[in-house]
Amino acid sequence: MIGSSAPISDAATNNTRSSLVMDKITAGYHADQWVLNGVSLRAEPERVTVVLGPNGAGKSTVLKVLYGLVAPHAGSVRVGDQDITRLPPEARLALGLAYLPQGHSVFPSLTVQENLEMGLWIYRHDRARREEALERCFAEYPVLKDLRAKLAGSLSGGQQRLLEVARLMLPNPTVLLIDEPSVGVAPNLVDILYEHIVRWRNQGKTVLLVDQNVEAAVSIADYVYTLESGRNRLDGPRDEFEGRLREVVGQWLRLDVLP
Amino acid sequence: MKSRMLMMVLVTAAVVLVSWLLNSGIVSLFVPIAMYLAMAQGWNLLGGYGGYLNLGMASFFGLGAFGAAIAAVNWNQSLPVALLVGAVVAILGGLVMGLLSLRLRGAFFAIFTFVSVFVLEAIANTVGITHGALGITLPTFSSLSYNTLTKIWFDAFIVLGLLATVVVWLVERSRWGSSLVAIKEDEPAAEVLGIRTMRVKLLAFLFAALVGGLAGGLYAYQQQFIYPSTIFTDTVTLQVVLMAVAGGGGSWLGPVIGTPLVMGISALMRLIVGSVVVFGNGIPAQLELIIYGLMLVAVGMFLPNGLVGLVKRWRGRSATPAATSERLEARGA
Amino acid sequence: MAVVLTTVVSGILLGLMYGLTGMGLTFTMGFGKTMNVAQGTLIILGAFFALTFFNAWHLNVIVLVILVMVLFGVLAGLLNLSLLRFLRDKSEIITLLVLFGVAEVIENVTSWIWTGNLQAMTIPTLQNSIQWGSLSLPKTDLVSAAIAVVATGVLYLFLQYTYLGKAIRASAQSDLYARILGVNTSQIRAIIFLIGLVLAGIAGVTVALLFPFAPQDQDQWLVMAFIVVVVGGIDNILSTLLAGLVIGVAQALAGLVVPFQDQNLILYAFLAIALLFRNNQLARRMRSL
Repeated sequence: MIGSSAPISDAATNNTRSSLVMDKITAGYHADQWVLNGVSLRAEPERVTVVLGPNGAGKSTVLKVLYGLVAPHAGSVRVGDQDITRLPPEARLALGLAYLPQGHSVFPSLTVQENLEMGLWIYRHDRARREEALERCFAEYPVLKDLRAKLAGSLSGGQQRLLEVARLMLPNPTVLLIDEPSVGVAPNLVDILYEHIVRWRNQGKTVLLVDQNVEAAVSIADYVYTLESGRNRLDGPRDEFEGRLREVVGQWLRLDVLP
Repeated sequence: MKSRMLMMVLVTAAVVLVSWLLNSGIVSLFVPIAMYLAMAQGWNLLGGYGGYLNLGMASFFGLGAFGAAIAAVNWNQSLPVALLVGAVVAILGGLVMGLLSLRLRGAFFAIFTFVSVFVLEAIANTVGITHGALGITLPTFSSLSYNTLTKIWFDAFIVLGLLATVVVWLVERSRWGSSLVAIKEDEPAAEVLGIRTMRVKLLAFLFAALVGGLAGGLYAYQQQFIYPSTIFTDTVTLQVVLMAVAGGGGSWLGPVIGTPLVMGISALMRLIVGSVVVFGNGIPAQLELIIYGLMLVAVGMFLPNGLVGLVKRWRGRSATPAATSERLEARGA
Repeated sequence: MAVVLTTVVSGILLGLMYGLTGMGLTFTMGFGKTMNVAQGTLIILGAFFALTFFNAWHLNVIVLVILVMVLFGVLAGLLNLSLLRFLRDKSEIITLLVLFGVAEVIENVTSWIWTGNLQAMTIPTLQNSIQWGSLSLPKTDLVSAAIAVVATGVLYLFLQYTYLGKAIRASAQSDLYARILGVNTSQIRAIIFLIGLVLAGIAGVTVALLFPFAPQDQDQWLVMAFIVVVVGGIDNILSTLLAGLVIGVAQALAGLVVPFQDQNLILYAFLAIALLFRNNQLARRMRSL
């Protein structure tokens, strides 16, 4: 059997409104230079929580720890009231987390249909649920239904982005981790994703967004965290934060230029 | 720098001198160590520093051996000319092999070089110039006694081995050396930095060909008699790679430590196994190679950076943390 | 003309079997990103397993294949548990190094157990030929070609249509993205290694069916597997089978004009030409690994 026998609870019903908490996480590859050094943050349902920071601040590592791709050295991760610090990605998916990595993450030589099926890998033993999810997906994105026999690599950039989003949403996640949506992606495609993020927030989902594109991210944010050198720096609601944006970012620019 | 060179010359002179003071029986035990030291250093530049697993040292060894033997027997050339011919043949072979395979990354290069040995063996078995499977008998040096010859061959191999060590030592401190290490760490990044990776790799591969070819030529003369199946064999490669990696690939010191160590352990194990286990027909010939194979597995599992790497880690001077974490990031860890 | 026809047909039959010998290598390379240098040795080990079981129990070929598959599955499991599991997060070079050591151990243990002598498996019921018009097709050739086709077909269907097969293809394209979707890619790699080994075992049975063999013959089967991979590429197992077929036919036709002892040279010329032509393509493919 592939996969662990991690508890697979019903993501769609049990955890419709779960907050995601990262508590004093230390992570990295060498004790003398942790990438994250006691980082704490919290993402609430119906909110877009944004994590900002200069290059190398550890933003992407935050998401990787939350999703179980990097094991933390110390600290804990909770979703709702459940400690998930040691769970593999598969179990986190089952608890309603989903992760959209940087860049283009479709499998180019798999068909659209197969790509979507991979999005339902955690339900591979539950045919009824898979069929229902696919039906829902095709109802929402009829384009994909027409394209389903095509190889994902042959789609246009916009269609690939749509496929990624559709695949992300297939298991009906409640907590969305989104990594650098504007890196390596054409600007018009980035906008598609921001629109989706706002929609997900309005549907009550918990969204945690890591972004280089400070202004765009802050414009859809409800709450903002900033990191510097793997530590929490500032955080606050968007309104409070917007005024200090220029000052903070200016500082990072100097950090980037003078490492 | 100059003092180091002087030291190497002195060490070489001392080793050569000592070989003439010792009993030739003892010296003969060290002949293979000297030969494999040379080959392991030849392998070291690309395999150790550059991280390209060259499993074709036996190809260079064989090309050198047959090149020299053909020059000596078919064309009646003297020993120096024959050795030169052997080295040239090996380098030409290395050039062809390198151009065909060095653009392909790691795994493919490894298996290409591995396969090259068998292809060359089959060719040597077939074509007329090598006398096919009958093998070649080289001219003898009947005026010299066995004892004298043993010492001469030891000296020839050890001079080659120490020369190769000096070259590796120099390269380690050169731009070429750091380019090789950069290729091992992250080849695409090295390319972006303007390193002409193909040229750097090819030169390191040709160094292996040169040293392997010279060692092969000397071996042909020392053995007097060579067959394709005993020269073009993966057991030669196995020993070279094992000795270099066990000592520490990517360090000039690695083969210097690894070669005597591996040969010593192997001899000891055969002795122990031979005395503990009672074999119906004596110790099987395969035992030595099984031991080498197991040692290679053990080194890969527990000592991938060799003894030199182990000592470095004890001293807390492990590979730069930055480079390691970057690799982890690149793999999406 | 009849000679040419017979030659082509026997080249096709033999070629399918050549394709099978390259299948394990293609599969572990294309999907598992490891070149298993032990492939030749494993093929010979499979041949010796088949020979031993046949001599002991006179089993039929299908049972032999299944038995060898099971044993190779167990062997893969043992190697995975003892060695490869610990190498997943180490570099490719270390894995290759360890596999090289494993290959040497297996080769020498094989030659220790079964001696270095040439041996042959003679199945009495398969010693005659089937006459079909002017063609005379040896039963062993037909059976081994059938094994190759069935093994490839089953593998193809498995990859194309099962969930696990899709996950294998997805992981081959991006280990990280597959992990993000919940695929346990380290288990997937173990399965890929297992399939590669089982394919080597099956190929070993066909070697035993068709040729006399000895432990040191591992090299010629590794070379054959490598040529098949270079000609057929590593993306598609059907093109691997096709590559074997092309090589088989080319070798058979060359055999009409080239003396027997030089036939290997034809193969190597084939390898050199294929490498020249495919170098760019392979290089590009390697970069994406």
